[in-house]
Amino acid sequence: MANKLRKTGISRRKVLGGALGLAAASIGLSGCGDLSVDAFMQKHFKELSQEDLAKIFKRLEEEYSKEFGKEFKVNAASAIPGVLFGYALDISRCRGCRRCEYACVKENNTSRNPQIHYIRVSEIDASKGVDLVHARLDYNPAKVPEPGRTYIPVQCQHCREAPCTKVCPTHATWTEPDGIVVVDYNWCIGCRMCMAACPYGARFFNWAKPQIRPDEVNTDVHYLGNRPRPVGVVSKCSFCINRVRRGRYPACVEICPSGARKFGNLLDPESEIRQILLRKKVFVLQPELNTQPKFYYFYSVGRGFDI
Amino acid sequence: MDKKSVNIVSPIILLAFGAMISFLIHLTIRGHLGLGINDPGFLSNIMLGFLGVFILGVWGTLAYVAFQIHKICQNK
Amino acid sequence: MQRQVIEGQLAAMPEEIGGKGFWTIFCILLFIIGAGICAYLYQVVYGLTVTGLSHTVFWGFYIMNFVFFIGISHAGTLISAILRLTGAEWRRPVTRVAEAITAFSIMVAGTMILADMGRPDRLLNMISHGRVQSPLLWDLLSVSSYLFSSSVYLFLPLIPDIALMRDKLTSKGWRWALYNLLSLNWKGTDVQRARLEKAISAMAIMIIPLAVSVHTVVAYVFAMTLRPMWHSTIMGPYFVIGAIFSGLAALLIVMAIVQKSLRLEGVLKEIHFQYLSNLLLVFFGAWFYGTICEYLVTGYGGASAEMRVLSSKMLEEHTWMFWTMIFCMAGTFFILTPWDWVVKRLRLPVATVSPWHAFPLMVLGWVGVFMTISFTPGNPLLWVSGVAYLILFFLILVPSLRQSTVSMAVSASLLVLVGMWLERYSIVVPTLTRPMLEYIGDGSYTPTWVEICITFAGFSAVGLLFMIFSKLFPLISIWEVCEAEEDIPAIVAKLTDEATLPASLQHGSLINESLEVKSNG
Repeated sequence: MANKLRKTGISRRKVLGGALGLAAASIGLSGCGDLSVDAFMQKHFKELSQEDLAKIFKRLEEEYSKEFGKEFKVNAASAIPGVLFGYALDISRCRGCRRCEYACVKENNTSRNPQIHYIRVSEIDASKGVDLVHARLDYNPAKVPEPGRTYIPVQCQHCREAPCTKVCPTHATWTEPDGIVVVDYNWCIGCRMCMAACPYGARFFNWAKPQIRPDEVNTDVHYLGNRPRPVGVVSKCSFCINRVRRGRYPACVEICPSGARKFGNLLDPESEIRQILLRKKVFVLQPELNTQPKFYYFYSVGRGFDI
Repeated sequence: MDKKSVNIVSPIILLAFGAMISFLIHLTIRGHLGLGINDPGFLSNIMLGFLGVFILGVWGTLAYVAFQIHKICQNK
Repeated sequence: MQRQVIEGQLAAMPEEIGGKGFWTIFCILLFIIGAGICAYLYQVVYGLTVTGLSHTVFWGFYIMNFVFFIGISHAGTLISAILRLTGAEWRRPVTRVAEAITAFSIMVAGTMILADMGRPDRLLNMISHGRVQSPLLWDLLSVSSYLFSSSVYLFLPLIPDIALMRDKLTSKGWRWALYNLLSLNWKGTDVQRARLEKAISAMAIMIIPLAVSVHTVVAYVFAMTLRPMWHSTIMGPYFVIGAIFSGLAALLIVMAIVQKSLRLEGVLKEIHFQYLSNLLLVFFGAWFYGTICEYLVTGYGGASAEMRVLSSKMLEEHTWMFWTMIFCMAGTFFILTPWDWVVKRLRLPVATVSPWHAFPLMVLGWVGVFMTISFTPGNPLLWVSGVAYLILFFLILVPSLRQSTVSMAVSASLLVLVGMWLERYSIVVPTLTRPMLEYIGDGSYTPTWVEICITFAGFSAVGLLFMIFSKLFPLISIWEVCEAEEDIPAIVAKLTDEATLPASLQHGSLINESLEVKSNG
């Protein structure tokens, strides 16, 4: 009998403790508008009508303005028909200045703390060609470009046979008709299977609630691209879907001071990217994996020594 | 007094069976409507077929067991 | 008369189990689970950043434990289903414990996955919009089917026992109501028995391929990616073998605890532990074969991505974990193999030390060897000390641990469980520390208190669920054990019955002659 009483006593304490813990947690969680009933009942992106989308955007804009104190404009501009985006990077011109890396961070509202960079530029000994085995991420950006070194940025390759979209259990990531591999941050369950499948390490999980200073936040956002992410979902480079679907270049292409980055419509025979694929010796990273990236690398001038 | 006991087990098994079969059908239909299958074609259909047969076999056995339990309860 | 005694003793167990020891352990386990829940809530509020996971090593303890618990769950299938189908009658007292371990460890495996998800609130997305191409969905289908099937498989042989328990109760409280509800009008008639046999046989046949599929799809979560040492064709079978191996070890440990604490030496005999140890040894062989295939093929091929991972496992930061696993498995092998003959023949000077002294010695020895491995991998002294340790092990520790079948089985099983847990770690983490684009840089992983708490909570949950089960239902399958006395002679008769032989062999057959000789001589 005494045993039973003792047992009940401890269980009661445990229940109280658990209840208090839950209360504390829910107070903490209630700060996230991401957990509202509307968010829970949201259908898949591909099933949403224009009205549903408008409602969702309004809800998101309210959330973001509450968090950052600024007016946000969320859109979901759809793919332009007859467009397949491709990217080419001229290694001979890349100076390793990393302006693209930081322009990307600014444009895409990536978390400053914990720090996430979609683009990562590395330095290679030029005599080794493209030797990503011995590349260094920790070079000194103040000294670039160092003689005898080449620089290679890597970001999401937007593969035609994307291994990441193959393994997603909830269809939270897919390839859009214009070739951009996107993630729906309101649908992702955070299992990180896509990160396991990606051979380029191009996907980033938001381990904590992304922190961005309100004065650095970009308020013109696309639902599938650069809108502020919630905690616990995967995000990645989206070829600046917010810009490219409205006739602009991705932020990295625009800011590159040496013109190393080329972007365009692969289906347009007159486009710069098509000319590059035609005239230059392009290669892709890890071609043996058959991911068929739409991100090409080439040398336009020599081997980069003389820039 | 020996009350005749209600068979709660068989209905639970049959409910779960129904849930799993409807889930499989749901996956198939959704897939062929374009939302579920990202890379349609031969491989997906093979996978679906194999999974479907396997899960049907498993849950079919469970349904058979539910039937046996029902008969045990009736002492027939 | 004997049957009544056994029945009475076993049926009284659920009510008799208790006392200070039981409830103390119960409360401790409850406390650990509470701590785990608190740790999880902390993780829910602050995000997965509270774990030791990072961009490079994004899967760690949770996924590892998921694989491990699903592995342990294969105990029930092997014992109950395969042994039932192959007519191994010695399995009778063991099946209930095995099936219970299966059901509970699958439940805990599910919670581990939940702990790993970034957005568990969106779990329903997998059901409403699941993608058939995803290995995680195959996991969902297979594991949920397996959980349900093993629960049904646990329940079916429980029906006659529940009816027995109900009949033996003297008062009509909640227990009586529960047993009455679950006993489904069981009266033990022939018709009911026939149906129960049919149901159990059908489940036994179905659950074997299901169990194989479960651990295969868990392996495919890794094998379907392109990562070095994950993208391997042997992963499916290797995981299944490892699962049965670790499941058997878990079963042996739980059985030993049940036998000792409930004083069931009359039912859970030495021979059961001996047979299970033999099975454990067989599966050690299979696991060892798979390991050799995996590592030798990878190492011989020498592709750079694979060699980096292999080197991280065997020579670099994961050395301690890899070599501990190897030592654990080597220890298992030495303990389980019947060396008595060898020792006697070679007249080796073995010591007779009690297992209680041997085990700490063994642990100390290992700690010494590991520290040497971790700090100076290439040091030749390491190999000297390793060889010296092995000789010591063979001459002192193995004989001591072999003094009793149960202590031999338990010590081997503990080594197996530690080794297999480390093997799961060794599969998940080293590959992630070596990204395919090497310039990203090697990752590292150190689990935090959150992950450790939740891991302990997982193990405690299996134990707690088992303890609750033992308070409600008998841990030994009473009807199967009691009917062994009647069933087994019938089976023996069938094996020696002349009428079952083909006509050509009926007269002058070996069996007849030997029987005649026996009756004459």
